[in-house]
Amino acid sequence: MLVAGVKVMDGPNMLRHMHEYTIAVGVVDSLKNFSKSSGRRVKSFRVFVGELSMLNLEVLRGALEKLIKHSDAADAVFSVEVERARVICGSCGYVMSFGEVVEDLDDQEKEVIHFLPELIASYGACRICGSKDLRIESGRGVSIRDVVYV
Amino acid sequence: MSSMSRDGCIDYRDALIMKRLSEFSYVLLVTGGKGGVGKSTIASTAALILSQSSNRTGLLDLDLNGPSACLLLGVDESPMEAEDGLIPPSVGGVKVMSVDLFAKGRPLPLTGGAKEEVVKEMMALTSFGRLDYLVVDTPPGTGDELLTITRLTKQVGGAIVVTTSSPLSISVARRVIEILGSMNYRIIGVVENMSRGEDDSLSRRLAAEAGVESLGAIPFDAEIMVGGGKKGPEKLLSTVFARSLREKLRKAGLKVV
Repeated sequence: MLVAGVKVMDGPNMLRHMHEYTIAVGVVDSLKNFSKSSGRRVKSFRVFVGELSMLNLEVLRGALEKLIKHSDAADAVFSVEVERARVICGSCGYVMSFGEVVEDLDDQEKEVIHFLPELIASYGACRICGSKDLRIESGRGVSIRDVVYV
Repeated sequence: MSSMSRDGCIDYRDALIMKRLSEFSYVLLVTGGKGGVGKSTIASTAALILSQSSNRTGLLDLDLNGPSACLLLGVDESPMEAEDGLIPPSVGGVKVMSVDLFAKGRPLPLTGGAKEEVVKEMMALTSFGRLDYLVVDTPPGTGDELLTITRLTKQVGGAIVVTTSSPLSISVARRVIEILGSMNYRIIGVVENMSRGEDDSLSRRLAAEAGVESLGAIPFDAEIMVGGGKKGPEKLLSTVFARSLREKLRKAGLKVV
């Protein structure tokens, strides 16, 4: 449900794009702050998006393109790439993929993981032994990597 | 903030957190180390008292394994998503953010590294807006949640250290004071909770040794426990406990009427 730019987290068919925008602001502000503190200009960077965050890559890319135009890093080249999720069971060692982690979750539960990936163990368990001792090895959220500057 | 790691990575959340913190006039950390001394009740009630005193107030519950602020205040609405982040629900004028608004009573088996991620995520995503006070409820122990929030808020923060008269509680509070001191975190006072009228010399001595103010003792109030902790704002504010806490907050120099 979208009401005057605000949507309620609960509900099955929500647009998730506001979260992507918030993250894009954080990414561009981080680059601005880096340039300001180091006196260097960012030439290129890569944005990795963990599968568990379930972000819309096109929306994130579009928001980054729009925001970066008005920053010190306007000419920077960047990519938006997916980081595969690996969730390890601390009890039996089984490694779960993104598909296995979210398979039994409904839309509302996925929405929670979208914001706080660490809560996977609150909503799920190891597919082999049923333990809730789950650790995210990769693919949790967004990270800015391989920043090249001049 | 927004520094680069050796492998060329930048944590985008640092910039968001810095922006959020710039909107808070004061961050009040409620800590103490020992479990069961009443940190959550003090944090929740302090937030209500500050709000009642016309301060724009938020409450961040960082007891990630055992959050209780929502239960104490009777909050169960989900946060709203807006362009600027997640807008927390309000109760008694206090904007409340807790991991329990997401977990909804489910278990929270979070390990150390995961806790730091959740603290940073909640700080980065929550849009409290401009606040006079952000009250932070910390969990028992001196682990990731306490260290992370201390590191993030030390420029605008002050801590109240909660203990009981028990030597066990005092000994854990002493460790917390030492950790906060090592990080140059301002301690605005030590408060002894659940006092049954016995000698409060141990908590006073603790404060004196640490060179911080003793805010005095809050009497044990059985009323707080009635209803299994589900109090809600009006009932919490009407207790003897709340009246005593109000005095302590005033003594600590907070804007309380």
